[in-house]
Amino acid sequence: MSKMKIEDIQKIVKKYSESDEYYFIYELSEDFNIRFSNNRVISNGINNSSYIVFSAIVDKKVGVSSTTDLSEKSLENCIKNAYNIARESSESEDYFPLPEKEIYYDKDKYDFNITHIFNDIESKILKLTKEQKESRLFGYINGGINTIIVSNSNGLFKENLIPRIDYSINIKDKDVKRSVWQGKLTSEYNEEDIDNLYRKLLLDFEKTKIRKDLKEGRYKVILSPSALSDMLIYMMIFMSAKSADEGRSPFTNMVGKKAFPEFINLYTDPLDKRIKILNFLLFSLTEINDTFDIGIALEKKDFIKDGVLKGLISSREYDKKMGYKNNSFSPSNLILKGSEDDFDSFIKDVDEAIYINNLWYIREVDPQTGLLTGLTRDGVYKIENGKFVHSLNNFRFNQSPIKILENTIKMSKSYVASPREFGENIASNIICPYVLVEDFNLSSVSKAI
Amino acid sequence: MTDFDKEKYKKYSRKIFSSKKASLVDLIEIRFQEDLNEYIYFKNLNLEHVSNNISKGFSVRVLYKGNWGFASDSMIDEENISKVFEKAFSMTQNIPEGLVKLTKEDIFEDEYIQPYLINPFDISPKEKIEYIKFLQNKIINSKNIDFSDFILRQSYEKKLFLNSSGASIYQERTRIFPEFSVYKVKPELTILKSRTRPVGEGYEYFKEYPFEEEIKEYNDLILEKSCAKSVNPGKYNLVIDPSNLWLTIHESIGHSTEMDRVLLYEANYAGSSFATLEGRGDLVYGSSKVNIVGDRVQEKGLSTIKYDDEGVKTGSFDIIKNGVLQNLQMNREMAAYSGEEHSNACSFADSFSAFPIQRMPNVSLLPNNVEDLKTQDLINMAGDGIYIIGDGSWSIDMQRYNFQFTGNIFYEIKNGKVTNMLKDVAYQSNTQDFWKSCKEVGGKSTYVLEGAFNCGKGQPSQVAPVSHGSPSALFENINVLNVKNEN
Ligand SMILES: [Zn+2]
Repeated sequence: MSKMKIEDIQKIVKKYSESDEYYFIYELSEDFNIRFSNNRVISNGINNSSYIVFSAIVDKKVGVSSTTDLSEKSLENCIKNAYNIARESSESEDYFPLPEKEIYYDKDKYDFNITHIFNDIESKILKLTKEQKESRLFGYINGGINTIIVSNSNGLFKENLIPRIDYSINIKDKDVKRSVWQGKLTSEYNEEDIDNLYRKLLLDFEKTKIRKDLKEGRYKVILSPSALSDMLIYMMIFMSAKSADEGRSPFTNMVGKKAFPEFINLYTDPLDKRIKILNFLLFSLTEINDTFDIGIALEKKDFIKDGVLKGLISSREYDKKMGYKNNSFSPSNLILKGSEDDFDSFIKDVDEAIYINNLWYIREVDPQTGLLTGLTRDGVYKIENGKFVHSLNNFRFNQSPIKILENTIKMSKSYVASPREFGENIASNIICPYVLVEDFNLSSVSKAI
Repeated sequence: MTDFDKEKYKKYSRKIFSSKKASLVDLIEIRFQEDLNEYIYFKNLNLEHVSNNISKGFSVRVLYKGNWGFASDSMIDEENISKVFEKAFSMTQNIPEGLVKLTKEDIFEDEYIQPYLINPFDISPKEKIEYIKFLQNKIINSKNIDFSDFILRQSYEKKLFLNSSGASIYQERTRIFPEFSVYKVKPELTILKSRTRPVGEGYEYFKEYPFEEEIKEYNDLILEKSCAKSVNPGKYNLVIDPSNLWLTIHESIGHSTEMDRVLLYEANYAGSSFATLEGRGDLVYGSSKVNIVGDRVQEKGLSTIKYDDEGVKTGSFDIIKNGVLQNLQMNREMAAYSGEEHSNACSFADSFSAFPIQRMPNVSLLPNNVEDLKTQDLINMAGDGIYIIGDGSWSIDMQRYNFQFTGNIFYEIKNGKVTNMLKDVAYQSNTQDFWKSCKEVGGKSTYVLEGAFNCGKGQPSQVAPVSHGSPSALFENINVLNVKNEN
């Protein structure tokens, strides 16, 4: 499928680069998507795209230019443009020599026939939507394979192949009074996944047959991995070491302190095989300038170890300036270590709690405390004596992710999460457990279904 | 700037339209699109990022027996266009007949270039960088400011739309959004955002903006905010400035009156709406003071354009009249489905590879047409309450009932007068309750066109720029939270 060989691109880059320091990112993707709503397919797509981002560095000044047009003429323009910007730019205080030569070819092989997968999924979806009598089926399935390459003037060359299928399905009753959701994020296409997910969806749907109302308040809640993952991604956005030092973060003055229960262990591990992720730094969700670190190998790092905040997210330049040793580059996964318990044994001795399947429309309210607001969505249930007893109305919450970890009293084992809000983001790979959390602020009732 | 060879693209497309396969299908749309984006980001005096990005390619959308097929590619050449057409065509084959029908619309051959004085991409990065650095210098040398960031976003969009019915429309638009935030770290973190707005204008907006005066003023304002009284939670009368109210309009009215949400297209993702098709002409959204218009023709509006991405000519229409829902936002498919004769031109695709979906026109609250009430008049009427300026945090539920907003600056109103500053304010309400409590709207002289660059919706997700005009307005008895208490 490759339209332009990487060797050709490298040749062009060598021909037009005008300085000792530069790097580029080349991404090639082939993907499909299918969206269905109310028992019919409403949109679809098979898209090929590729782009180059070229970063020119001249006397510690950086200019970046990107293009989706990979003809030689356009690449020449892109590179020249980056140099023009760099020369007109001002010297970066964050300058650091680019990562040294290191070569990595991704040896994993993927047999992804996009058109074939699309047709297969489409026929499954058409079958399921046709089956619906008293209910309405919704969803979105997208997937594909991304080839991502970083190469720099020191001879660094890194290639990662990221295959991804992301399932999101939702069922509602005829009157749109009940609604549940299931998602799955995986690196492999498995023909059974849709049907399995659909079966899980129907089991959840059964649980919504009895619906009772509950008032706002502070409650003991269970967050599903999906619900927790969206909060953890937000927390990652707050985790800049520099912002913490500047007093502009909820993590200000927290490094080195035991701020969480002993059993809280949060780390990143690019070698974790549960879902394939990038093993080099590509971009950051966190407010940290890592322009000069792009392409560097990611490593296993602890953020919270036995309840102690060990480090935050940083760059080589900032760590050197401050003498920091425990920070991580912006990670491409975040893993909250769980217990040994599967979901059934985890929930078995929960006497009373509110189970929350998804969180939605999450936004920062107070950057000092990390307070976020948002809604519960598609699956809120009352748990009594380890059992789902009935479903509940939705709520608006006001809650900080840091408080969630502080107030966690019990965990299941960890699962690859499907974040509902951040679903499509390549940097959002979260592996986390179901958690039982005390004092969760469900601030007001939402009538939304 | 790249080549955007309209004549060549038209020639390629016409070849597709006259092919044998084309005669089998109901409609083919081909859209060539180029988006230029430039982004400059300073933290204090450090230039963190400057980039210039080009996204260019084309897509083909085919309608056959009530089903869409859509494919795109970033490489524009004759051979590829027919390949992509084949792909889109094949997606409509071997599946049961679908339900998509379209309204019949006039066919246009036209060109439109949005009026602006200076193309932001004609100005060198150097000039922009030096000017921002100059401003940042002023900001961080202000006694009460510890930290500042500055972002300048600029876009230029070119679209060539052709369809097999004979439409051929070329359009260009530009927009710009400079924005800075200042921080005071002690005694506790205090942030103020600039009063700048995203606008459908050229570089002139950035050049003419009174940054230096605002910076001077912000030195005192941030000190005042950092010492402000933390609000007591409770019910308050709120006088809301257009710089805050635009976002509440966007979330609670703009999104809830999108027909694709009403028809549950977005129900798995962005959400649906409490509004219904039957509610048109009937559903009470707010008090009789609430008059909302959707338009894609307002000068400098971010959604303003002459034709939408289905080639339908844009205009303006009532969404809410005297508090009652009138019309929803539609594209051709939804208009046909809901029994309307014509679309109201709300189709938009954010890039060459995006499937066009129903997106928001500029959605604006009309000012008082009886009396040109000033904001101070509304403050007098409020008696006691809070005056809210500038946007902050926002969040609303899946059906657009329950929302919570913060702001940039809050003042306590006592006996009809603005007194001391307040902080930690969030207002929480439900869309209909909130708009029903709208007791008065300000006159023309308080009207401002605000907006957003990045309204998100759709799967795959797309962003769209949109403006919202609003006067100041008075709302009675709204629930206010203290965000520090909420933690
Ligand atoms: Zn929006």
